[in-house]
Amino acid sequence: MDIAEHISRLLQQPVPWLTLPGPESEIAICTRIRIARNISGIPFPSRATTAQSHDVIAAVGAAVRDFTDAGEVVGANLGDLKKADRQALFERHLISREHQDNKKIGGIFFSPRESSSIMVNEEDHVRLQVLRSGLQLSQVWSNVEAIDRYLSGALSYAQSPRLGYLTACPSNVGTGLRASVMVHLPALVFSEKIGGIVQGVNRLGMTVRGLFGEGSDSIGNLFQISNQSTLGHSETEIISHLDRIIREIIGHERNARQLILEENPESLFDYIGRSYGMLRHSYLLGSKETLMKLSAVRLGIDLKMFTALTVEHLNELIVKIQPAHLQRAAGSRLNAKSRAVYRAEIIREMLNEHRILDR
Amino acid sequence: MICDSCHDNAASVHLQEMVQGVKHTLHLCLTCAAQKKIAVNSYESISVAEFLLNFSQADKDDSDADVRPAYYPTLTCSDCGITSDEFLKSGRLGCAGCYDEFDEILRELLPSIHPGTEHVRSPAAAAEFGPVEDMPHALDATPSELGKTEGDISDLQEDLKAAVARENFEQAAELRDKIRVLRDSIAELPVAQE
Repeated sequence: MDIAEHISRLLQQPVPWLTLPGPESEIAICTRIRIARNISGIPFPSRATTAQSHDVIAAVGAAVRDFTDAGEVVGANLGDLKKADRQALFERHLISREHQDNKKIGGIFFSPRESSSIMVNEEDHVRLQVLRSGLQLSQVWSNVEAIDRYLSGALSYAQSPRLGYLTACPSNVGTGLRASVMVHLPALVFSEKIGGIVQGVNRLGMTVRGLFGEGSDSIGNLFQISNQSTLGHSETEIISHLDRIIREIIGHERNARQLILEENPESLFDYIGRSYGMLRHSYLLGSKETLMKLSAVRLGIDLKMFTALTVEHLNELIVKIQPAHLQRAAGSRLNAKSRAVYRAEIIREMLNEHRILDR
Repeated sequence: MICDSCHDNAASVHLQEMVQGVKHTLHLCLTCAAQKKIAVNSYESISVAEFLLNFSQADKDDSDADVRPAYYPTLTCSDCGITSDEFLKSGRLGCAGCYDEFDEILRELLPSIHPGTEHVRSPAAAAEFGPVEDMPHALDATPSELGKTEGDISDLQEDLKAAVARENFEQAAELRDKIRVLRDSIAELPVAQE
C-alpha cells in the first residue's frame, strides 16, 4: 500500500489519543507541547535550496526510523498527498495551517496513534509535537524529551551557549518550546468572567487562542492557553507555570458551574436541553453552530444529563464534522450545503444512541 | 499576518486584552514592538490599552520620523545572504549564522519579546519529573517539599472552613482545589508506588 493510501485510510478512523479518557477531561480537552529545532550547517527552510530541504526530510526520516519500529511510523512528503488529505492532517492537529500548502519541501512523520508528530521544513527544520487528552503536561513533556533525546543523537542541532536552540523566528529562540492546553470554559463565558481570566492569563505571560491556534478565534467556548515566550525560563519552569495556571482556571470554571447550578438550574438545563434537541433533530448544520451546541452538550455531560454519552464521543465528533473529514467520509467533494446536510446526519446518528435523562 | 502598526512587516508579537467582554488584539512586527518599547517582563505583559497609550505618545514625539528605525545599518549575513532589512520585514532569520551577524539588532529586539536575554537550561529534567511514566501531579510537589505537605493540608482545611463560613465560595473553591492537588501529589509520589 502506498503512503498516500495509508494516510487516507487512517483519516477514516477517530483520532486515537483524543478519544482516550484523560485527567480533568471534563474541562481540559487536550495538552500539546511542541519544540522547534534546526539542523546546524543548513539554512532555515525559507532560505534552504530544494535539495537541502529534501536532505533534511531524509535525515529526519532516518533518525525517526532508527529509534522506532520502522513499520510503525507514518511518513510522507506533503507533495505526495492530495489536498483533501493534507487538510485532514491539519484537522487532526498533525500539521499546522501553513504546512498544508508546503508541497514543495514539507514533510510529516507521525506515530500510529497520532500522538507524536514531526513537521519537517515548516518554519523550522524540525517541529516535534506530542499530544494527549486531558491535562497531562508532565507526561507530554517527558514524551517530548525522550523523542528529542533520540533525535539529537542522530541530528546535530543549531544552538548557541547564550541563546539556546536557534530558530527561524526570534520569538521561539531559547527553548523552542510552546506548551498549550485546550480548555472548555462555558460557565466562565456565560457568567461574563472570561474577560478577567484572559486578562489575568496574559499578565502571567500566557496567550489565549481559539481551537486551531494562532490567528483563530474562540468557537464553542474552547480556549487554547499557551506560553508566550521561550527565552529566559527553562522548559520545566514554563511547563510548571502553565500547569499551575491551568489548574487555577479549571478551579474557576468548576466554581462558576456550581454557582449557575445553585442560582439558576432551570435556565441551565433548558439551554443544554434545547441545544441537544437542535443537534438531535436538525437536517442542516453549519460548523460554527455545531461547535456552539456541542459546547452545551459537553457541559450537560459534566452535569450527568445524558445516558452513556461521554466527552470522548464529542472529541471524536469535533474532528469528524470538519470539512475534509466530511468529504473523506462521503467519498466525494462536497459544497457548503452538502457538508451541512452530511454533518447533521452524522450528528443525528451519534445522538440517536444517547438519550437525555428526565430531571 | 501583517503588523497593525506599520502595515508592512509580518507580525510576530501578539497582544490581547478583553475590555467589557470584547477582545482587542494587536499584532506587531519585531521592529514596531521594539520601537514602541513593548517590554515582556518576567511573565508579565503589557495590555493593549497601555500599548496604545504609549503608541500615541511615540507618534507625537517623532511624527516626522520614518516608521522603520533609522538606527540599524543594513547588514548582510555572510552565510545565507539575507539582509537585516529583509529580516526586519519578515521577522524571520535565514540561518543559524544570522544570530551572530545580526547580534546587535537581536540584543535590542529579544528583550521586547522574551522575559530573559539568555537561555536557561532545565536543571536535570529527570530530577524534576522522574522517569515514572504516570506521575500526573509531579509538577506540584517535589519530594523535598513533601515533609510539610500533610501539615499544609490541615492548614488549608482550616482556611476552607473559615471561607465557607464567610460564604466566600470563590476562595473556598480555590482552597478546595489546592487541597486536592496536594492530596493527589501524595498519592502520586514515587515512594508510594511499587
